[in-house]
Amino acid sequence: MLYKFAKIFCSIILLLYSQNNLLDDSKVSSSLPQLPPIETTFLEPIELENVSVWVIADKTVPFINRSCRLRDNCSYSCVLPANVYHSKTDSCPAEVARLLAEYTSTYHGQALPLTIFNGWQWEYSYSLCQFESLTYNLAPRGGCWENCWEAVMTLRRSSNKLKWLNAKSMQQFDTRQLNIQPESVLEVKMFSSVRIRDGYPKERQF
Amino acid sequence: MDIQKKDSSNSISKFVLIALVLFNISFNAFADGSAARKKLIDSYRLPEKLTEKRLKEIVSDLQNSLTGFDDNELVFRIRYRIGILYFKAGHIDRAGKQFHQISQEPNCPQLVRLCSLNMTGQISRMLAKDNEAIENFCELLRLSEKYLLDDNEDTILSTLLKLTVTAAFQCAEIYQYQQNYDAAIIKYKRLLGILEKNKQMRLKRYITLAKDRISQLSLMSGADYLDQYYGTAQDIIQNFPDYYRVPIIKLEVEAIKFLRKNTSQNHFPNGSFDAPVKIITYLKDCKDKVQIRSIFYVLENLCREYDGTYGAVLLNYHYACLLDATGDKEKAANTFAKITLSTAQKLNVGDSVQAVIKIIAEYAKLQQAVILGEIGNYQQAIKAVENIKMYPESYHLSKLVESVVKSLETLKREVPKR
Repeated sequence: MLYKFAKIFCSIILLLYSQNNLLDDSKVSSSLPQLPPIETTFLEPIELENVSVWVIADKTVPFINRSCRLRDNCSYSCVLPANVYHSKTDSCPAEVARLLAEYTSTYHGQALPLTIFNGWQWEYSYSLCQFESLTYNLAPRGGCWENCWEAVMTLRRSSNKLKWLNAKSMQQFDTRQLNIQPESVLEVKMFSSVRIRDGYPKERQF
Repeated sequence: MDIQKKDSSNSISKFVLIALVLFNISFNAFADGSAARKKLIDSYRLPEKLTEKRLKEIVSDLQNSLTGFDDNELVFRIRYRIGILYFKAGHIDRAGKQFHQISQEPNCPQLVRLCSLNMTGQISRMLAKDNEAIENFCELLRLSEKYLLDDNEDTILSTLLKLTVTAAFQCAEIYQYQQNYDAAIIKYKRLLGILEKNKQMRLKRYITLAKDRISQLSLMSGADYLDQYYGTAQDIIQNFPDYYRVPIIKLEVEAIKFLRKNTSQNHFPNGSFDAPVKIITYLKDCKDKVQIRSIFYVLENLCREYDGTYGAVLLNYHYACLLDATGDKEKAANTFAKITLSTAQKLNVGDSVQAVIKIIAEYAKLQQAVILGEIGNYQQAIKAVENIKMYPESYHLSKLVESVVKSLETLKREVPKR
């Protein structure tokens, strides 16, 4: 009896073993849950918009001299700020933002120093372009003077986006849409070629 | 009889023992493989941000699951996953090492190897290890070209193509940063070869972008590359008329030709973007009527042809500046007003372009106001200034608006006649 039972038991065991071993790879994988796609991250090519246009750079309001005496050698200097605004979303690694600052700074050469704060942020809010204006006289009894400058404004806006790709196979992938995209944005505004606008300075007699 | 019974029970017990051992081995192998698989799948359900403690636990759990089964792909997928978890937790250095190790192993499955090379390249670039980044991206390109340039390959390998595009652009951007323009151009050309053989609509924008960058880099490379600049720019104009920069490229090409002819300028280290503004500067100074007319003709035609596009915003702006420089104030003010209107239309362009349009449009309103003030139309001028929208970062504009409004109000009060 025991002998028979042991024989049946062993046969079941051996059958299970053989079935298990005879399963080929495909059968194994089909019986198991599929693996999720492979995640990989990538930086999109840096988006860079370069624009250079003539703009009004500064304007003095008309100064009217209501006194009876001439006011001479009045001076006015015009200051144009160069601005760098650099931001990143919370999910954007600091390294990605710093990379954007370095890449964009190559366009500015010596004109704009690359000053990095917090390990990634390019900050620059000092007045870079200071231009001495001419001195002027104000005629007595309502004499009026005003000036207007114009300059070339160079505007560069760049952004760097970190995206996630889900690779299902060599043929198939999709990119993951996140609510807040890891992104860094940099805007640089600079002025050059400052000059007095045609027709200025204006002197008016009232 | 007893001896026979004893023998048979001995052989039975041996038989049972062997069977149990075999079952145990087979069952364990099967179970551990599926357990590891389950752990890998579970790791995809974790929150994006993990605490240090949790990260350690999960990584050690995944590492422990690596033994006791024979599934090469699963092993590499788990190792790759550990790298991704490190990366997401901000341990970029450790992630980089993990991916580098994976990509170097000879029995690594091809897709895992390509993704690892991509990750190593991306991480090296983030860590400012540019040469290592180039090495990894180049290796990725070399491997992918085997498939993507193979004439017998019929299926479109979209994932591979996307990774290749990324690697080529990253490499070229590094070369450009290092001012190695030749190498950057070569990378873009290599990519164009791949994209032309593997045509895919979703990657079409990279073709125009690569060509645009080739044209700019050619111009930045010096006078010897001017023909390459003209050739690539013409190629974009003719073959990609829908590319958003085509109207600007047309103007820039004319501007470069004009500057070369009239100012003998042959070197354009910043590329072509500032060429139009340089022409206006030149014409503001020389006031040569024949030259002004020739540029007028080009600008007028382009503005008409591309009305309502991003290109038209910039073209109209330059055109208005030129009108202003020649003294046609009324027409200049009207043209600036047109820019304001055109921005109201919905333009199908990226965020950066939208942001640039907004800024240009606000400066156009200010420009319009100053010109209207100069011709004594204070009412309209004040209206134009009032329409200017301020943004938190528009420090220059807000200061300027303040002084222009004061100026216009004073003039309106003191010099009321038109």
